[in-house]
Amino acid sequence: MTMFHRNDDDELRDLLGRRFSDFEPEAPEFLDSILDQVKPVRNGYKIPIVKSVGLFILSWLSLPLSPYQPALLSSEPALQPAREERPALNIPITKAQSKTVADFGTTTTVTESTGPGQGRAERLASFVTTREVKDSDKEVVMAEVNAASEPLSAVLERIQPLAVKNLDVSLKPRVLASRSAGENVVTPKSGRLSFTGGIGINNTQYVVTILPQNPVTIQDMKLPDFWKSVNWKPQVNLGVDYDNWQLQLSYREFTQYMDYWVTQGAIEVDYHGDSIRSIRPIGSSERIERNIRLIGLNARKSIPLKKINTYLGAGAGYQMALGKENYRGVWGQLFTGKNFTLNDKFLLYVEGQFNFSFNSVLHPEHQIYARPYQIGITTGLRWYKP
Amino acid sequence: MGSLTPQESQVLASLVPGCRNGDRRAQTQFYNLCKKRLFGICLRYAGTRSEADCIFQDAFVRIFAHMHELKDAEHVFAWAKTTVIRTAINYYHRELKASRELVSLDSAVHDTADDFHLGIVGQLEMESLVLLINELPAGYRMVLNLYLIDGYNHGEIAKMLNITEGSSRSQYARGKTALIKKLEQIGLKKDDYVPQKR
Repeated sequence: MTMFHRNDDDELRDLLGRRFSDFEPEAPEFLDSILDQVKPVRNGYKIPIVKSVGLFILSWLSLPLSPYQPALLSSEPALQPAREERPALNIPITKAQSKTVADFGTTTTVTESTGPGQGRAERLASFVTTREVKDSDKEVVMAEVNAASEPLSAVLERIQPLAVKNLDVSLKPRVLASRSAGENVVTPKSGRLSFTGGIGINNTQYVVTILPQNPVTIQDMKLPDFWKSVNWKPQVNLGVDYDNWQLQLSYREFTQYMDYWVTQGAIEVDYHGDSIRSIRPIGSSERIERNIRLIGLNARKSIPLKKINTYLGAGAGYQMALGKENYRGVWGQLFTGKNFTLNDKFLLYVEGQFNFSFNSVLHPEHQIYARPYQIGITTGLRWYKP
Repeated sequence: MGSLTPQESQVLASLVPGCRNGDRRAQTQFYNLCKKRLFGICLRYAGTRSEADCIFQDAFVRIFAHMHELKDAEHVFAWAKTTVIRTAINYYHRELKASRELVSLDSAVHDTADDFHLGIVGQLEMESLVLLINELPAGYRMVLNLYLIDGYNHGEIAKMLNITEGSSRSQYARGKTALIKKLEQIGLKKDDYVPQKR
């Protein structure tokens, strides 16, 4: 009759073990409060994310020139002294009152002259100059003259008036920095399929690169004014979300308005007798005016920050221009935003974005490479599939 | 005890990555799959239902917050069960130990309760059995649960409860005797007991 004996703990363990193996009482529904107390996951990754984003921005800003202009730098010598191509000797001399001096950056020489006088070209020797260009009056100052086979005054004395024909121009290489632009939409929610639609506005700026061969300098360039309405352009997005991923179709515009001065590398010298009266650059004011409309497909990943009820993320996409503009390229995106729940199916989001292009928009005439970037704000609705 | 079927184990393991990433859907599924079994453990270790609720909630917070520390997703349920037990022990240390319910070995009274009564355990409704365990002093309850039901040995129990191994044995002996007394108190006598076929 006795099933258990004193100290027969194993029997008791077996029995209790069996009895409690299927013990499944009704449990309380504490899930919401439990999840509210759970700290945002992956705290350990926050710092790497911030660091990597910073590193990414830095690397983008310092992208080298080479990917943007394949042939120019390699096929043409960067600086070709003009006199080697067009010796300044035996230049026909025409007018008596003016001479034109072509500026090749560090080497200045008389190139050509025409007119009834038809004197032989005069070699002026090579007198090296540096110049300082002031935006206000474009006055060119001859800063240094040396290595001349003859004194400048003597050279000028022998030169007959010149008329400018073809000015051979090239400037020293200069790589110049500048400014930017914006874009997309998103809001993620894990585990549910949802659809988003949003509109936004972006301000576009540029990182400008001017190649050595171009007769343009950054001092002469006026980049987009952030506050001018023409630099603010709309964007529209449609997306589908699952978990924290989003696939997004986007339409956005950006306007490329840039004013700049194209120097022809020459200065005109008016003089009476032996004295120089004025020296000024010869060039023209140019303007880029075009509106580029882009359509693209973007993939984005967001990271919810539950503690502060917001999210941040990054994405990338391929964009191509509509219409005649010949532009296509890869854009990246960093964003952060906040969700406002309207009801169990709809959610309103407001999102700040930083969009940047990995490819330059090339100005066809002067080979000004401008990489657009945008700062923008977007808002829209998300609908969760029931 | 409380073991899962292979299918359930697979499902739980598949939910681990989502839970680690804060995926609410995965967390909800995980909660729903485990809540009854884990709450059963909480009920055994707690003195009252409200204590069990408290331990249950704390345990799940710890499970979700520390799931990234779990190395083998296949063993997630065993890990969760251990987390619940440790949470209960922490609760005991925090809330109950001040009342000094554990008695030292020297002062332990070795009851000579009739083990015959223990057979009654096999016949009790689960709710009644849990109630009996709940009514035990916290120290006894801890040791009985750990030793008899969850399978820890006295060395492990001593470390968990921060007592000596001798104290663990003592508490176990006293707890077992107290449990038998409880059985008698609720009116179950030797004559009412029908032994189990084994």
